[in-house]
Amino acid sequence: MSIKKILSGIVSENYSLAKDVYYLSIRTNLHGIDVEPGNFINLFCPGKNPTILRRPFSVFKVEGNEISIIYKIVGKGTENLSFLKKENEVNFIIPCGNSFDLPPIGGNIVLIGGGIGIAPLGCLLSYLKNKGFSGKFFLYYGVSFEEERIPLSLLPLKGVECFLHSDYKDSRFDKNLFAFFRENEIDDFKYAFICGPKEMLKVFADHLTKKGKIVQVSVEENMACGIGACFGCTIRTKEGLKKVCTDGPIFYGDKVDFNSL
Amino acid sequence: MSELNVRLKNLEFKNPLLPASGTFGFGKEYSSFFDLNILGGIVTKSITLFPKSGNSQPRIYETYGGVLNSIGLENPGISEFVAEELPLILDINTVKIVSIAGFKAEDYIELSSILENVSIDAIEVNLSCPNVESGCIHFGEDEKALGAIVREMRSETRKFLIVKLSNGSSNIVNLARRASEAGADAICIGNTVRGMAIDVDRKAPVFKNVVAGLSGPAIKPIALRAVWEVYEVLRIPIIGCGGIMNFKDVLEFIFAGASLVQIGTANFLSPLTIPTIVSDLTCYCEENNVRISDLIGIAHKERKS
Repeated sequence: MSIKKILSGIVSENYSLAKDVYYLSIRTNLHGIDVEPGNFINLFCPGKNPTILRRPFSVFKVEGNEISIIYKIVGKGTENLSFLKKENEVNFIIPCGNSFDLPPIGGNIVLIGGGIGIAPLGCLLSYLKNKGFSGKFFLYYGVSFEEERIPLSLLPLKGVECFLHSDYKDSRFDKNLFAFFRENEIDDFKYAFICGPKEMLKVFADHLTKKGKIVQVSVEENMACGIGACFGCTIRTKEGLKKVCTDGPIFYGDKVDFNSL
Repeated sequence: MSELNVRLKNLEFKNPLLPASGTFGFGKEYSSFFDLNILGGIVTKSITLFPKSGNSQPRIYETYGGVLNSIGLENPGISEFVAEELPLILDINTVKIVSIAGFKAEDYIELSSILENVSIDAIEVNLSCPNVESGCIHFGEDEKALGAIVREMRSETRKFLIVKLSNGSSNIVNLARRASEAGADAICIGNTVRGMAIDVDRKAPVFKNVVAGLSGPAIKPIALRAVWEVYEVLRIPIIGCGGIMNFKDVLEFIFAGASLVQIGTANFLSPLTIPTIVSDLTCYCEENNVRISDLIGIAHKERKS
């Protein structure tokens, strides 16, 4: 992986995709942006009321000199981002974190995204398709409420079998998505990639690992530095203490102690 | 950059800027952003006698103008530190300071005797971490315990000893005096300030330990006041620390009486904070034709004149 640096860029797009969910695209002066699926950027969230800490966002898309994320407004940082206008300057640290280990080229692949957890999976899907992966893709994508789902046109879904879930009753879509998954479960795959709320990661990783699948999860944790210096995002794993920001955010599902998240 | 030089006893700091312990890991993470030789000194994350896994999540929570942390001194312990991390630090051309923390008084003594045989320049004695159940701040706010630890360490080591105190202490002057009398070479004022946050949705404290350490610009006036008070009455060199974000903040601390400063939370906002401040301070000194060492405590004279 290339050396981390602080990059400046110009906002080229920043618009609402769904309820409280936005798409932010940043134009840089680089010829190519060196990131891999699973990496995140650590973005300064400027505004009248700027945050002290940067905020980490999984890379959603890279195209030429532009890099895109999708974010949900959950606090001051993301609220600041939602006010950014085209041509505003932003800066971010890139590339942060590790990336997904790519599966062998032929097998079927299952992707499971909860809410904003769709972001790194979108990046992975594009990447695998560009690399000529010939297996079938199955995407399970759950949101709490239908109006929170990003437009599917943003994802390269050609040839991808999609299972969409939303739950109007309550916001425990981690549980409900799992029930939905069990109803629509396929078995003809070896590799699964999961991103979403902690409770969701745990229930899916436990289930699929028991079934002998190779599961990678993208873990989220509050961070201060995002570069491995502050030990703010440490979690427990079967291989000892790990930093989500540099040892992760991608971990094998059978290694993480989800209770430590 | 001689106008930025600060000399404390036998230690020559090329500028007054050090990273604050715990915000800079063991240095290597920042080396992708800038040449670490630019640092006035380097201060490691606090090391304990044995490996420590730290507190459970959450460990970080941003507040208005600050950051609460509850890391809990996660570190690999002194043996692994010396074997794995120290060699890289020794390669940096700067003043090398190892921060140590203990849960018993004996921990500090044993750590200082181990470090006596290592070619570092100084030991920073963390007597102010608020995120552990014993030791650290529990000694650092107790004049008697503090004095005893520093005195015993003094008899174990010839290294430059920096005692890091909590800037939230109301009796900071007495604590600093006690450390000075016990043989400390410098006082660092200070660490994070004890604070907390409550998760309104859960109706419960954010942190499992309830109390966490507040850093960032929110605590700058508190730290500055503490530096001012100690400089008024004691002649021991002071390292100022608390919420410094830019070169003007650094000047405030120096004018209040700090010989050196530590940068903590601002490293998170930008890993380039320290080199940026070094260059801004250089410009300031050139434009005003002054040296940092002539400015230490100057606000006290201005007040009296």
